[in-house]
Amino acid sequence: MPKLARFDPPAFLDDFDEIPGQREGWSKYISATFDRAITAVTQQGVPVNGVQFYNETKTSSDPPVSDQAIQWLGFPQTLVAQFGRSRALRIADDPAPDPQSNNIISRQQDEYLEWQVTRRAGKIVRVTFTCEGPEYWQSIAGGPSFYNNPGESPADFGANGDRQLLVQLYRMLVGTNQVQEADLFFPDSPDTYNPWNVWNTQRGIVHLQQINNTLGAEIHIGADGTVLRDKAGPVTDATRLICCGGFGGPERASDPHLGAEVNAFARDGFAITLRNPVGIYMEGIDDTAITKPGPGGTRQPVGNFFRVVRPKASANTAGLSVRAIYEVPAGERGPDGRQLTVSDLQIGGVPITRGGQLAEKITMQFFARACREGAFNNAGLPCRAKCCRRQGVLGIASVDDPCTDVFPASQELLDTPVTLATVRSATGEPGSRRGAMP
Amino acid sequence: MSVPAEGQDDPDALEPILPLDDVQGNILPGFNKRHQRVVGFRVVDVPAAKRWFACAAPEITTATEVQRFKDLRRALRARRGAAPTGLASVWMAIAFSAPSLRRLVSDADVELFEDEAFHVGLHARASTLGDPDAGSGIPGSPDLWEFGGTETTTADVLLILAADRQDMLQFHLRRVRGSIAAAGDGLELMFEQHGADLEGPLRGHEHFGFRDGISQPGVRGRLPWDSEAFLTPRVLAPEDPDLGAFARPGQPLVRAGQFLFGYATQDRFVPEAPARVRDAPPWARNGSFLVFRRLEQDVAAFRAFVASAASDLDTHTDLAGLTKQHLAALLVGRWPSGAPLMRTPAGDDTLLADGIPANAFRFDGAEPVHAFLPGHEDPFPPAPADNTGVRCPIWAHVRKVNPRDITTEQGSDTDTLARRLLRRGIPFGAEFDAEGAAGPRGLLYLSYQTSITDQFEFLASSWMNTQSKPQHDDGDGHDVLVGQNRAAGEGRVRRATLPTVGQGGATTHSFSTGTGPPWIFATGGGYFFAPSPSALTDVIAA
Repeated sequence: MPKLARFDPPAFLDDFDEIPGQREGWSKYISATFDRAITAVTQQGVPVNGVQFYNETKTSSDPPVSDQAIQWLGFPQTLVAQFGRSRALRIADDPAPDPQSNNIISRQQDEYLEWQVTRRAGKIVRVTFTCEGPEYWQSIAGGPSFYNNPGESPADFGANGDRQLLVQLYRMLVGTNQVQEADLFFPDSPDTYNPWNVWNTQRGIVHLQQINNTLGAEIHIGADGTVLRDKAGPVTDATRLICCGGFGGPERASDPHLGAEVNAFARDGFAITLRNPVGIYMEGIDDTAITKPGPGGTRQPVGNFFRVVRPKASANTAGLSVRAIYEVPAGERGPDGRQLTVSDLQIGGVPITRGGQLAEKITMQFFARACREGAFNNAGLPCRAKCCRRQGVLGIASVDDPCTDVFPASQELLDTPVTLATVRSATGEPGSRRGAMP
Repeated sequence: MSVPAEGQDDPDALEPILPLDDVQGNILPGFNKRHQRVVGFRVVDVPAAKRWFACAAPEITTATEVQRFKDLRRALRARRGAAPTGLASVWMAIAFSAPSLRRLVSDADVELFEDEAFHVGLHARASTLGDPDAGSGIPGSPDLWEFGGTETTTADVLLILAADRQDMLQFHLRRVRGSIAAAGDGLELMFEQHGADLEGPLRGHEHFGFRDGISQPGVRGRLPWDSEAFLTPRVLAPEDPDLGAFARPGQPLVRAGQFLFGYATQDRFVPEAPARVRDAPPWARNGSFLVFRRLEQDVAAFRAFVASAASDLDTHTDLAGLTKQHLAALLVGRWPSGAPLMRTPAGDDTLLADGIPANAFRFDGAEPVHAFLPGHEDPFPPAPADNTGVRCPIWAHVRKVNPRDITTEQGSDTDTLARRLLRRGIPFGAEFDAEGAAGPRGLLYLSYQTSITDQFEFLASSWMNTQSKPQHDDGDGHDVLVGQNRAAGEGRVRRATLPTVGQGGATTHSFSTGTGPPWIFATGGGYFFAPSPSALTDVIAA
C-alpha cells in the first residue's frame, strides 16, 4: 500500500472545495499534528526507531493492513459516575460554566459527542448531535488558533480559511441569518476564532467545544496508546494504562478504551496509525427500544428519525456521520391527529425528557489502522503519571504528587494490607459519592 | 492480604457481616431445589392481602435457613461419602411489582427506587430486551405472552416455592392457598408455572443439553454466626496473588451492594473500593430486584439450525469436520457437560466439567497456575489466553454475558464486575427427547440484582443483542444462542463470524440465523422487588 497522498477532511466533507489551497493546508496541519504526537512519544522514552505510531503520509501501510473501529457510547460516563444517571441526564443537556476552562459557558459532554435540545412550548422537537472537531472549524475561520501554539495552527500550514464561508455555514447549520462574523471571534482578539461563541453554545451547535473534545486529543491518545507500559508487570488494563500513560480522561468511556485497543495492537508489535480521514464519528443510533404512541394506548416502533446531515450520503461515507438530527418527521401524527414530537416518544417505556437519553443510544467510533505485525518488540516503560481520586473522581496526577495512587504497583498492593482507611483515602469520604439512601 | 474487621452497620465494608436472618434465601445463597413453582397473584383486597403477608412472613425462607441446610447436607455427604437421602425441605420466596408496592406501601416510597426499569415494568421494556413488537405475530411478542405482557396481566405478587420432592411442593401449595383464603382472599391467583430439574443424564442441564448455572459471582460478606467465615467460600491459598479478588478461579468477588440494597456497590475501577449505595427506600435494605422471564425453547429449531450451519461452515477447508455438536458448543462457550471451550477446545471432557476446573479461565490473559488451600485442586493445564476468540468465540454466550478480563466498550474489565447478577433459573417442561414428551419447554429465568437497568438489561441489550459489543473484532457477532436482533429491516437475523487459524493463516467465516422462528423467546415474566423478611412484616404487611 503506497503512502497516503494527503489527509482528507473528516468524513470527506467538501466545505474546503470552495477555499483555494485549503485541502492541502489541512493535510499538512494534520500531518504536523501526527509528527508532534510521534515526537511526544520519543520524549516519553521510546527510541526513535521503536515508535510504533506513524504518519501515513510519510510511512506506507504495508499489507496485510487491519482496520479496527473502536467504539463507545456517546453519553458522558464521567457525569454518571459523579452524579448518578438521573442527575447526569439533567446536567448534561445544557451548557454551564466549565471549571476546567475558567467557567466559560460550555457543554459538559465529554465523550466526543455533543448535542443541543430544541424545545417548543415545552416539548422537545429536535436534538442536534455533532462530533465535528473544533480544529476543522478553526481552519475555516483561519487566523491564529486557540488550540495551537504559534506556528502550529491550520493557517500556518496554508489552510487560510474563508470567514464568509464560515458565516454561511454557521447560518445554514444554526438556521438563522442573525449570525454575524464578529460573533464568531473573540471580542478581545478579533483575529482568533472563538469555539465558545454564542452560536456554538447557548444559541446553537455547530461543532465540538468541550475543552477535551478535539481531533488533536484523538491523535495524541492514539500515539500515547502505542507506548507499552510496565508497573511491576505489563500494564494492559484500560484504566490502569491511561493512568500510567497520563493521557486522556480516565473516567470517560472513550479515552481509556481508545488507548487500550491501540495498546493491544502495540503489544503484538504492530505499527499503528489512525485511518484517513482522521476524525471522530457517529456509527449510528440504537433506536430499537424507541416507541411512539399507537391506537388504543399501545406503543409502536418508530421509523428512522435519526437523520444524518453531514456528510452527504455517499459510498465512502458509511459510518462517518458527524452531524445528525433526531426529530419526528412532519406529518407523523399520533392517534389524536396531532403532530408528534420527540417528547411523545419513549425509550423502553420511559418518556424522552432529555437529549441525553438519545445520546446514551448513540455509538461513537474512530478507526485505528495496524500493519507490520511483530515488527516491534518494545520493552514497557515505567509510568509517567498515576491516578488519584479528587472529590470522588479519578484524575491524572504526576507520579510525584503526594496523593494516593489508586492503582499502586502489584507488589506494593500485595505488601500492603487492605484497610478501610486505605480504601477510603482512595475513594473519598463516606457519603461523598454515595446515593441518597437515608 | 489481611482483611479489616468490619461491622455490619458500615455500608462501605468490603466484607460486611450479612444479616442472613433478614435476607431471603433464594437471593443468598439460592434455593437450587429440584422442584420449584412460580406463582403469580393479583392483589384484589389490600387489607386482606396484608393480613396474609403478615401470617406468611415467618414462612418466607431466610438465607440463614438455606445456608444451614446446605451446610448440613455438605456435612452429611462428607461423613457418609455419598449424597444424603431423606434430607428434604420446602422453601418459599416472595416478591412484589412496583404497582403493587405503590398500593401496599406508597407512591413516594416506590419513587425512591432509582431503577427506571423497575418502575415501568418488564412489559414496557420488552423492546429494550429485543423482544418482537406486540402485534407482530412473532413468537416472543408481549401480546402473545401467557402472563406479564401488559400491566394488567403482570402479577402483583410473585411466590417461588421450592422443594426436594414434588409431593412436598404440592402439599405446601395447598397450604398457601388455604391460608390466603383464611386471611380473606386478598390475593387472586393469576398463574402457576412449574419448574423442575431435568432427569437422568440431563440433570443440571437446560433443554438444549448444556449444563447450566456453573458461573456465579462470589458475593462478598461474612456469616453472622462466624465472622471469620465468608458467605462465598474461598479456596485459594494465602500466597496466591488472586486471593482477595477471587473466591475461586473464575469466580470474582463482587460487593454485596450489587445484589442487596443498603450496601456499597462495585467501584468501576478498583474492585476493592466502595461505590455509592443504590438509591432506594430505607426499608429496601437487604432486599433485591427479581427478574422473572419465562423463556420458551424450541429444541427442534435449534438443532436444525446448528446442523444446517455446521454443514455450511464445514465446506471451508479450515473448518472441515466441524460437527453440529462442536458448533453448538461454540455458541454456548461450553460443551454439554459444562467443560469450557477455553480449556478443551477440541472436544468435551467431563474431567473439566465440575468444580474448580469448570470455571477456571480468562479470555484476555492466560489463567495463572494457582496455589490452593488443602482439599482443593485443579490438576489440569491452565487455560491459555484467547483475546481474538479463536478458542471460544467472542460471541459465545458465556463470553457475551461475562467477558471476564476483556477490556469492553465500557473500559476496564473491572466494570464487568458491576454487571454480574445472581442466576436462580430452573427448566420447565419435559425433556425434548423423552418418549411422548410434548412442549412447551424452556427456562424459568430468575435473577437477583440491585439494578435491573445496569445489570440484567445491560447484558441483554448492550452485549447479547449487539454484534460489536462488548468486544469488537474481526470475529465478533450477536449472541446467536440467546440474543435478539430487532433492528429495523434486519428480519431478526443474528450474525456471527468465526475466526480460524489454518495453514493459510488467520481468516474468518460468517454465518447467520436466517429469518426463521426463534429458538428462545419470552412467553411471560415481570420485574419485582424481593424484600427482606423484616420489611415484609414491618412495612408491606403493616
